[in-house]
Amino acid sequence: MAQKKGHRSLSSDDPEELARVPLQAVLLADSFATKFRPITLERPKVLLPLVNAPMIDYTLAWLESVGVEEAFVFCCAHSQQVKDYLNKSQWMKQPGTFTVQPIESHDSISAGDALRVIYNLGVICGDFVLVSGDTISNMSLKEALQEHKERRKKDPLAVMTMVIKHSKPSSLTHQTRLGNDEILMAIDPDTKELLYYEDKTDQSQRFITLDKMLLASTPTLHLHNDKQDCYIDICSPEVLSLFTDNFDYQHLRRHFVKGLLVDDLMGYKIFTHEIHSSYAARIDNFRSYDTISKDIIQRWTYPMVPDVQYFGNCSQMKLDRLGIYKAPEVDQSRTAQIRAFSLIGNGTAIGDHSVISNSVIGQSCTIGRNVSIQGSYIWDNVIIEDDCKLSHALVCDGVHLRAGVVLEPGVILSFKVEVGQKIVIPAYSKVSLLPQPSKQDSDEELEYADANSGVVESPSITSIANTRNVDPVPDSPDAEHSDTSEVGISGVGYIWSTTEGGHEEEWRHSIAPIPAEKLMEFCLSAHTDLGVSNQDVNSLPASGELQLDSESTGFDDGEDYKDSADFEKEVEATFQRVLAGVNPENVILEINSLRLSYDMSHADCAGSLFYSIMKSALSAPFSSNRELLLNTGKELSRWKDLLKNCLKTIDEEIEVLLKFEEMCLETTKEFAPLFSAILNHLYEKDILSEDAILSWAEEKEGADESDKVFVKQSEPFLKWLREASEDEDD
Amino acid sequence: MMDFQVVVLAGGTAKKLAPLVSKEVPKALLPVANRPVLSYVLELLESSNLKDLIVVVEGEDAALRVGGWISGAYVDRLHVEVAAVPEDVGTAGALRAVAHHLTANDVLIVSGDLVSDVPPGAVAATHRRHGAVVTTLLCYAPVSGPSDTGSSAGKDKVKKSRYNIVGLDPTRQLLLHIAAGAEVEKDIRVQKNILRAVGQLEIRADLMDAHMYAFKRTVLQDVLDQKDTFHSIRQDVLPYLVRTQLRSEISANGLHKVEDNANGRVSSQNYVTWMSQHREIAPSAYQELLALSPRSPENALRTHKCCAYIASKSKYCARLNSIQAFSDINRDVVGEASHLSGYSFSSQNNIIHPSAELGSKTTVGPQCMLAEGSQMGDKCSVKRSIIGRHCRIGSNVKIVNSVVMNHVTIEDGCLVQGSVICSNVHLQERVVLKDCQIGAGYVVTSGSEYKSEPLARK
Amino acid sequence: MPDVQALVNDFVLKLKRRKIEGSHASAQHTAELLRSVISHQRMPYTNQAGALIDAVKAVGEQLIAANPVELAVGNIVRRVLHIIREEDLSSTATAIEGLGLSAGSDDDDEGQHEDRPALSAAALAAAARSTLRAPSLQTLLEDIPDSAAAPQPPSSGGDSEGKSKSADKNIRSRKLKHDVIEAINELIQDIDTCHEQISEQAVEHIHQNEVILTLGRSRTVKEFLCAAKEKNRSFRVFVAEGAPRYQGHVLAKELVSKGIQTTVITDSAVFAMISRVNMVIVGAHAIMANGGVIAPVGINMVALAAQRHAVPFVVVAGSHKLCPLYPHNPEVLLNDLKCPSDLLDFGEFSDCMDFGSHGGSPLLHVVNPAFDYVPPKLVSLFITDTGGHNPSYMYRLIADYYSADDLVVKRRSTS
Repeated sequence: MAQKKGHRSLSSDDPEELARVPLQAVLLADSFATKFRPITLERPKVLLPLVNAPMIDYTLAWLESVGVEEAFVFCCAHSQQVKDYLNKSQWMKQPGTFTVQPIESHDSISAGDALRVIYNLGVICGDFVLVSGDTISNMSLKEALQEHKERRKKDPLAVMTMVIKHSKPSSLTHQTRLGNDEILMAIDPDTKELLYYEDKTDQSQRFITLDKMLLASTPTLHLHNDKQDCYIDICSPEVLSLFTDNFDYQHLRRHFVKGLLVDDLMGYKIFTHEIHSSYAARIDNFRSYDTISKDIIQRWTYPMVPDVQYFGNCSQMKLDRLGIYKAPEVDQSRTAQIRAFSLIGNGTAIGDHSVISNSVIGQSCTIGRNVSIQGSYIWDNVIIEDDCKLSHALVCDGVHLRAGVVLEPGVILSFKVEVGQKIVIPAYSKVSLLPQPSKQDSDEELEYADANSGVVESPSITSIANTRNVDPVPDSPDAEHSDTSEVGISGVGYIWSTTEGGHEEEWRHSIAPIPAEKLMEFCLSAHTDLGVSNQDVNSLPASGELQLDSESTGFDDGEDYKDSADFEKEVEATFQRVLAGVNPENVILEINSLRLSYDMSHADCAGSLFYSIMKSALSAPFSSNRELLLNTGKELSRWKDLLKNCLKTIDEEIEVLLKFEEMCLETTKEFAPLFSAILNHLYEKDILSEDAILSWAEEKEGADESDKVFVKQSEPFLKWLREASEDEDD
Repeated sequence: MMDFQVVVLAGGTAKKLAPLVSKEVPKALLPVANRPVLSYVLELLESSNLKDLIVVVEGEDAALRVGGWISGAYVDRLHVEVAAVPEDVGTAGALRAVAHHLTANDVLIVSGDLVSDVPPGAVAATHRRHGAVVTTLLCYAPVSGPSDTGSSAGKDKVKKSRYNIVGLDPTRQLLLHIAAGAEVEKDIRVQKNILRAVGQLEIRADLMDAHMYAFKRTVLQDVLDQKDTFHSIRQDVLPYLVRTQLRSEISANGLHKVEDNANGRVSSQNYVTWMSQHREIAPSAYQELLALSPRSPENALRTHKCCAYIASKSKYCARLNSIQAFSDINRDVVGEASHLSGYSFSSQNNIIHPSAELGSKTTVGPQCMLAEGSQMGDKCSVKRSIIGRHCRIGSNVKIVNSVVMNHVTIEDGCLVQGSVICSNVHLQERVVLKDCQIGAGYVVTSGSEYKSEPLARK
Repeated sequence: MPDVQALVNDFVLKLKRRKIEGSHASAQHTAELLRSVISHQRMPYTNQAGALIDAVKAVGEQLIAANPVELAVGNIVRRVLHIIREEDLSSTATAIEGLGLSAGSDDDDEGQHEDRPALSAAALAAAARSTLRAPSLQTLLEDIPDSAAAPQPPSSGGDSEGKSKSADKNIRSRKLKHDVIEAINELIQDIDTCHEQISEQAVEHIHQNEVILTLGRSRTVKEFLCAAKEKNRSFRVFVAEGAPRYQGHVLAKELVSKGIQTTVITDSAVFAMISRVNMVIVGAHAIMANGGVIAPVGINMVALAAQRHAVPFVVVAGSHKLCPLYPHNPEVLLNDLKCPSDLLDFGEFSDCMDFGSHGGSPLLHVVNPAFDYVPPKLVSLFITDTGGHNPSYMYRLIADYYSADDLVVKRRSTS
């Protein structure tokens, strides 16, 4: 055999192939996420069956088919299980040029850590393919690799090529068919360089803001929200070292990609490769699990379809009309119906009058009489007794549903759960033998990485965690689930709780289709939202220019904004501390250090400090404008020195004025009527010099009417100033 | 071009162009290659058979002068009404003033200072084809002459501010985003709902709004009435319409559901391109949303279409809205864009009117123009400059990259470089001018030297 | 024998992953694989044929299961089984002859045998058939595989001749294996050369200035047409492009490069064009026992069009595509559904498949079948490497390629 193999490899390698380094791949066999809880507590995500074959098999099969020679499987959570599986699987003992090598690490909590580990191992010698173990694809990497290599020749800074694909998000829910949030990308149409990437867009914002510098380099760019990120990356070795250098990079997209795009110091570039007819997708949540399963049944992933049994191990399926896949030994009662787009695994028995549609059923399950299974995923060795109703549920191995159980849409039953007779499991609930965890293990999504990302589990889990710590007895009053009451007589399992907020969001990522009423809500909100958007747009200065930087930054989500906004918050916080009685001197220091760390200008400091002062003024209760004015006066005189400290030159003073104007326009309209009065105040307290005020007025000269509201308002004051100055002149 | 009314916004005596413009010479009559700039627009319109024009001029007497000139020049060629509006009403204001004259379904609005060879007919046709509420002409950056290559920072700014940032759909027919004026300098802010509707948005910075718009009349009038704060077409009306196109607030007869354009044969090879032509701006989702929504259809979501006509790179397109532009355009019209001038060039690629008299050893270089009745003394040299009618030019005079208008007297030994000299100016001996603008009738005393200064009579 | 096993696994994997596709390639590989299987098979003293057959069946079963769509694999397995039986039969026959027990065997036959001991298996088999009476032939055929009845034939020789038995057997043992391998080599030969064999007949079928219509791209058809061209026949070919793979475009290129007048038409234009056509020539994926044809999708439509206008519909196919099964047999997988993205760009249509918002059940379904089934009555003529045949004649061909009890390749549980 050995000599045979040698012979084969020889025959396969033509000289130039021998010259080049073998194509390598890094496969992350850990999602570093909690989206598949509770199932992933017991089995790693990559080993979960997708249409009766473990996800990782799809990924490995694809890697092998695109000519990858060495695949490094990075196992973290449940690494033993993954390794055992691989050792059993065909991949290890496979003849030919495809070798699979597991890498184990227990302390990695993110993709970033994983790549750092791999870097330290020093196994990667050239360009490599980076995928996670839940990627399904049948695309050919040839062109993508070609492009990548050629770019590298021209420009060594082109470190990564991202595979993208057309896929329009639903305009109601703004999430893709895979249940991911819509992604906004800006791409240079000529070079295909990725210029902007935002996968966590805040729905409340109605504007996307692109840095004008983007257009400095290229005259035109394409802005997409109809592209899907396939999470298949072709990386150069530098990527690994980049992760090692920036040890705070955790998330591949949120940190690494955005990081590279934002900082132009190193000037690393990321490019995209769009695929059209071929298929590529990643299972990120339950909805994508559902969607991709359906895609597979519809054969979009050909040849990775059940009846081709690409991965040898699974039993030979036969495809009937209407996409019904049946294993050879299915014991189906004559009166049982199997409807379109279903798959029945080997050795499964289906009782009389049962109806199965749009579902995948694993091996050696027993399904009783009058059971209706619709759009559900049932894994192996499941027992479903008579008269059960399952719709859009996911049922793991060894689950036992006693007679008359009803699973409402979106229910997840983890391994070996048993549900007692005639129990109705409410929609979107997750049942597991294990209680909700109190500590975060390595399969936990990093809270901070995801603080703002609206993933439902993380908050819920922490909240539960507390209650648990208080008192760890499972069926105690405050831990709101006890076996019997929840899953019925002789039932076994905890129903995991999701906080209200979580529950709100459940439907987004669940297997169940989005309920009609939800869609309805969206229609209405879409209407109103649009209405709002217009009103507010019209409430802007009537000029077409949306010239309100702070407001815009308040809205947009570009990195630069984040800084400035964070900066403002920071300053405000610091200021609060002053109110709390910290010595102003330190505050000045703090603010300066802040300024440096965010590298902001003095002007920004002044602006934000002023902002916080005014807010504090506003915070004090007031009934009439007069009172407000008084408060403001007090505050100003109180913080004069502090403020003065930032007003080094006239520019800062002008900045303050502009800031003030903005505030009156948007954030704190209360001040609007008092503008001139307060302006006067500022002058009196000689916080602002008259030149500053005058030059501000001049600046405004050019601006169009709408923008001069406040200049006009304070015209008398200005006039007086001018005269004063002229008097001085002569 | 049936049922298209044209409004030419000829401006008045724009401050920006002082001292070139004056009571006598309003902006519209500034000479470009010895023809009033307005004539370029009028003839362009005429070439597309748009002969029913309203010319709006700011200021009564400016209006009189323009009217006088037009009736003289185009008496039997065009049907032109000249309307006078007060100064500083802005383009929107100007239109309000003449709105009641407008009767046709569609209105073509052209800026009077446009020097271009883009057929307005094409813009009008695009407008009609899409049933758009507004169609705007976008041009690539104007062909810039060699003098631009040595570009000072200041000039760059001028150039920059002429640009717009526009968002187009993949077919480049729909105008989805436009940033005008100061906003261009800021970050680009695109409305998400519009992006969502199209899925893909092409943002370009190399196109400029050429101030030729086709409007649906009703829409234009509505907007002008409702939004009385609107001052400028370019900065207010157009952006407003573009912004609200997915939820138009304009009256029902102005709006159009958007239907997909272009049809092609799908084959495995070309379906991708075909599909890209089939993207709709009004997304299917909005329809389904209409279907679901309890509201009655009439107050349900309305959309209107804003379109763009992008002139090919080969076309010339520039606006005479700054002194820089004035000299650029004059240079181009006898240079790169000479086909616009309508003159026939000599073998030396210049135009010397037969009635002009040249002294001995006087040379007139290529890309120059010497109009009728002008006289030049000996040993003069003229390079890339335009000299108007009946100028008296002494000996040893050098004129480079300059525009000299009519009845100018230049005495011996003067050096004029990169300057504009208006009519009836008198340069006495040995005057040296670099990058100056001399207002009409000004007298430069002998021997004086000026560098980049505007000079005009008090 | 580890390395044979490795070979088998490797090939099975290739079949499963659709890495080997197309009847010609898979037939060839199968034959070669089986050859090495047999050559590594250790031979017992008794019932060697049985041993071989079991070995082959064991492997064959896996192969067929690996990709049931490739009927050619099954065909070759059965061919090989048949060969083994024939060889065994002939060798027994010779043995019997050698013992001079032959009843009414004519001298010519015997003489022939004396002259050339290593006579081709087929001839010997024929001889054996002619020599032995039907019943005994029957018993032989049935009993050899059956381990229970296995000792019977030798024993019949046994009592007649005791001492030379063992020696004789050794010779036979080596001989049988050797002959089988010989015969398989011939088979491989045939598969390799089938295109030439078929092409040779081209001139008899394509005449001057005819118009030929074909659909998609079949190598056999290409060679066939080119052969005719080389014989300086001038004719015109209509090529239907063969959606969704558009292999027709490729074929058109190849034909033109050979200097053949070619017209490319869409599949849907076939009916319009057929009236101008003198003959339709298409390739096949497989020919079933009833003379029905499994052919690339779209060909049934062509066949119907041809019948409607009484245009002869000719199917060219190597004999390895000849399948002893009937289309209604349960184990025949008639069709293979390919990837929908041959038809549509998934991305562009992805919003039609948003299961989230469309009640969870897919509304858009894209079917992309690979094959058509053309019933025998639509086929005018089959041209295989053994010549032209009527559909009705197929069963005869099949009868001398396959033996009746190999139709179901299942390894019986020996021991």
